[in-house]
Amino acid sequence: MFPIKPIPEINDSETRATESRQQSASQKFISFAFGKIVSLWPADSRDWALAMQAELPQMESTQESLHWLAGGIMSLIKAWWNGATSSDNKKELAPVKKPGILAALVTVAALAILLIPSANQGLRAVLTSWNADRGQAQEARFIRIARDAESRGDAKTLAFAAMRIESRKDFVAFANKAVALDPSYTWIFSQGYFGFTNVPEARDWPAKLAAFDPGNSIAYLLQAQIRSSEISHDGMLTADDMRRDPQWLEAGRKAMESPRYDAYRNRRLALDRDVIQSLGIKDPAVIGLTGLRAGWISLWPPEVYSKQLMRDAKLAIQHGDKETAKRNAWAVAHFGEIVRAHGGTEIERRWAVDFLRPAYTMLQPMLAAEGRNDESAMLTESLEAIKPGAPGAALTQWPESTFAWIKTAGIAMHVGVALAIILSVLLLLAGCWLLAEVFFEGNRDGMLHRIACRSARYAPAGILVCLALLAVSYWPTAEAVTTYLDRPISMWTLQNLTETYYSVYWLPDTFRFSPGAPYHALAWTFVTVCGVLTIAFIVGRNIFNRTMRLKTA
Amino acid sequence: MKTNMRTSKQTLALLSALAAKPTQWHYGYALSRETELMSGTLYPILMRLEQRGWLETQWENPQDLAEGRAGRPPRHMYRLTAGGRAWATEALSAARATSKSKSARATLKPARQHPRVLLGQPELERA
Repeated sequence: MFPIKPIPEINDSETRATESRQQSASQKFISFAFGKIVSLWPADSRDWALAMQAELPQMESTQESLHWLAGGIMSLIKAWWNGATSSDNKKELAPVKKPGILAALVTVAALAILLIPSANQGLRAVLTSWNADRGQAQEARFIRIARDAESRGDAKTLAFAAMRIESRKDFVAFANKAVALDPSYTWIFSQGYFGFTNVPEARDWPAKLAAFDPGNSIAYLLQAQIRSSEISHDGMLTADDMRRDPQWLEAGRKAMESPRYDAYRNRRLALDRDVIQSLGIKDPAVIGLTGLRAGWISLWPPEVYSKQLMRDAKLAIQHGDKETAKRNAWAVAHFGEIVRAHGGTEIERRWAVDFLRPAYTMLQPMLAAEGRNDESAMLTESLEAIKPGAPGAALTQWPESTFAWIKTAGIAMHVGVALAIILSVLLLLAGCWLLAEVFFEGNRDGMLHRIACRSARYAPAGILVCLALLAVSYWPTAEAVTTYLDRPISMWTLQNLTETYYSVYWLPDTFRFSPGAPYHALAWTFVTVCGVLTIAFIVGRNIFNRTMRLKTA
Repeated sequence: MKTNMRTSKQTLALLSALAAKPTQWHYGYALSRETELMSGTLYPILMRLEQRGWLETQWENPQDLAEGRAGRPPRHMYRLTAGGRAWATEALSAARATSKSKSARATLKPARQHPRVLLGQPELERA
């Protein structure tokens, strides 16, 4: 006879109407998900996950099951957290090993990575990019370089530094000094007069530039820019203010009627490179801006004037004066062709199209009507090449893959540096702690001892990986810098420089200038890295720690 | 045995439910319904109570299951230990005293209480 075991008294008030119910697809999914929760649960308390799972068949609706599942996930996270922070199981853990020769070798290898130029330069570039006052620091740096060059009578370096200085007054002062030392640098007057800050010392610059390079429209473009600053009110100036100003418009007319257009881009690039080489600068913030700023000047004044000419041409056609109309349209087209031929940038090409398209559109039917078929056909062909949407008419956009590369490389290098710094600090502290243990009596099995041992054993590997990541992700940037410094400058060189500039600076600049996120890039990187480390710590303690005993149900 | 444990409103609700029928075994789902606690709140509290030795746990014996429940996994059951009962009485009494003094002070608006903090139930006195 078998002994009858009494069933315990159970407070099981809920109805079991659902027991015979077939499992729906959603319930099957919930059962499956709960199975995953059980498998991920820390081994020493897994019976609690099984306990929760065993209640699932009692649920009366899918909604209840989902709530139960959500509770299971929450409990799993809490169990992981407890597993990571609790010291209850400390005695069950194997004793930690002290760092050995391998950790020392890995540390040396990590330091050796810094000898690779891309890692070395990348570390400095990323740290520079984190400086919230980087603009002011650069300004102060170039003012120092300018003063030093001035004291040495080095006109070239002085001209380089002057063009980099953001403050209009300082730019004007240093540019005047550079040109006084060597008048062959008069062209630098055209390279930095942006914005509406009026500096009286620059009033005679257009005349000097026109005398330096007669026939170049750049002197009149500068004159229009300076005129803008003179008529602005506290830095405010509308487009109508400028259109109504006869001097500004006159400067636009002279610019358009000039026989040549040269924004001195090549001279600027060559000078920049010579001085950057001589100063040993490798910072992409300095080098990258060469590609962005060289030869930049607004062509808006002649464009406004050209629109006036085209309006006059249309009126002339209405009055039957085709000769005036043709003369005006040819004048506009001529300037457009000059800009297209001698402008080296995408923006200049776009400006050229804005001149050419209305002029050729007007001229083509007039020439056809006169029977000048060859010229008319040529203009038709030209119009086809610059029609809206044509490859020659639109600004070349970076392909998505380029943006993806820039962002991926940027994230990799910033995270690599941030983690390498944190791990280095951890390694340093761990080393100090273990060194102190040699000299002082104390608990050699406490939590801090264990953390110090583990940090000293594993942090070097982490630093090695992070610096390798930095070296790889910064490698294209370092290559672009080397190419710029050592080989002939081409459009590709400049495009690579621009890309490399963004790869280093887009992440900190995004953090710094995004609305609602006006925090220091370092703060965001710190938060991200701490989050990653916390998750790694919790997951590591719970999933990969196989020393915990499985408590079976 | 650790005795320091934060007696939150949720913990008090659970203690109240467990202490109402102290000798009886309780299922997790039934406790969840009775206390209106989500499983994500309930089970971590149960785990802490068990760690401190205040909760006794037991798996159902598959052989003891009723016929209609054949094929279902055995369920986990809970009840307070003797020490747990003593602590529950103490914690619930303290909470009740605090609640009374708060409601005496609150003249304009009633104190917010968890609906299932069953303070002052006759069963508590027996526990």
